[in-house]
Amino acid sequence: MEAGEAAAALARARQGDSDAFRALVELHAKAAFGLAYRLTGDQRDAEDVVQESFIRAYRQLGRFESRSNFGTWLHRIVVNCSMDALRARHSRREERGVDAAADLAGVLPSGGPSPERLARSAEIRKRVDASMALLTPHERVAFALRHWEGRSIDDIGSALGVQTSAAKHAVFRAVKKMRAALEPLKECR
Amino acid sequence: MTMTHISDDDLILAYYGESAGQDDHLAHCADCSARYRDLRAVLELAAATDVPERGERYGLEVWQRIRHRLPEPEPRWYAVWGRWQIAALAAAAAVVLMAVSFTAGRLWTPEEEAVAVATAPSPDVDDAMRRRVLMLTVADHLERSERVLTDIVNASAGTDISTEQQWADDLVAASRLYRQDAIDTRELSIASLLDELERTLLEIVHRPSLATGDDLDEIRRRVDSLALLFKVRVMSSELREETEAAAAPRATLTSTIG
Repeated sequence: MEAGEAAAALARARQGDSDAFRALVELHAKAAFGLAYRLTGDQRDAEDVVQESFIRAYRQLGRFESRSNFGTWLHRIVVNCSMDALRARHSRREERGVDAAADLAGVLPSGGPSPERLARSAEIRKRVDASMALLTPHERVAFALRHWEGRSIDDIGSALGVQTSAAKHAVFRAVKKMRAALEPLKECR
Repeated sequence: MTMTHISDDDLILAYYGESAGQDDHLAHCADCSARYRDLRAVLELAAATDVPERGERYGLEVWQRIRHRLPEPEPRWYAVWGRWQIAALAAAAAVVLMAVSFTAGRLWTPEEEAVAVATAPSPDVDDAMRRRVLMLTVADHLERSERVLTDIVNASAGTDISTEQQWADDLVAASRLYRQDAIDTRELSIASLLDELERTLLEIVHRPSLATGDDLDEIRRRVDSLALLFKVRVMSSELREETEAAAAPRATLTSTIG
């Protein structure tokens, strides 16, 4: 779909044309899934986030300013929905008394590490995932947006609806936690 | 003269290219340069995750999943104004009709045929709306539950079902609320199905996350004996049809107003 067609579809969708909204869903769904997956690290959560984001976008179409870019607007909604999913996951873990640090220790062999085994990227991936579980939802989203999505700290602040300084500190805290958790793997690369 | 080293936070900013003017210091300070390399070595471990591939029809699949769940978009100001205006006109018409009826009643003799003012009982809009919202919400809930049940029924022994268990746990919590709502609105068949569903979801939640063949067989037997998947599908589809039928006249009215 070309830019002009996308703009026309958006204009029709804003008039309540659900077929036009469908065209927007088809255009943006893959990108939304990629972002949601990077932020949540879980396929099912990412699927739910994509659906919830489009439903939220549809409900709020009246508030969308036509001069803005729909993709940018949707990006922000996906970030917010991902935050909600992460908060829900976080509180479930807290309710169950799941200790993320203990999970990490379970992934990190305490004695006799085998460098050959550790060097496998799947193992590293598992440890990175376990390290990500140590982060709060804010830290996780800030880190993922900066580290994987290449967003500037200013952008992260506006996506999360916080001051740039708060976004910056969320990134700092996340990096420090990740660093502490991943330090033992450094030699295994 | 003492050299001021780059702080850990500024090293992070430098790694992400958000801190100008550190390059020169990093090039000349062995200590900061070593700390920077150390930071980079760790952060590079957290390489970008491969996003699971989604097919060409993914957008369409998403659309199919959400199309029944799309709410009414938030009305624009002129639509709100239009509805308010019509409501005001309707109220004014009702007042005029009452005045005419009252005057007619005073002027006409008792022998004359009495004017019957038909006053249809006003439907309890709140109850109808509440019921519709309940049906829509339960339909969504049933579809999610169906996905969990299907995953579990098709799981093989030794599969890690912790994700399904987490999902089932959430569904149980939601189900309790919907069941109470269903009882309050006297939708007893919905309440009864939600009750059966809750018990089965709890069975799933309470199994070990690495479910054995026996665990899964027991859940399958329970689902089969209650014909649960069948009931869930039928109920969900009936609720969808009913809400769509209920929404149709309203959609027409809205488009006329808008």
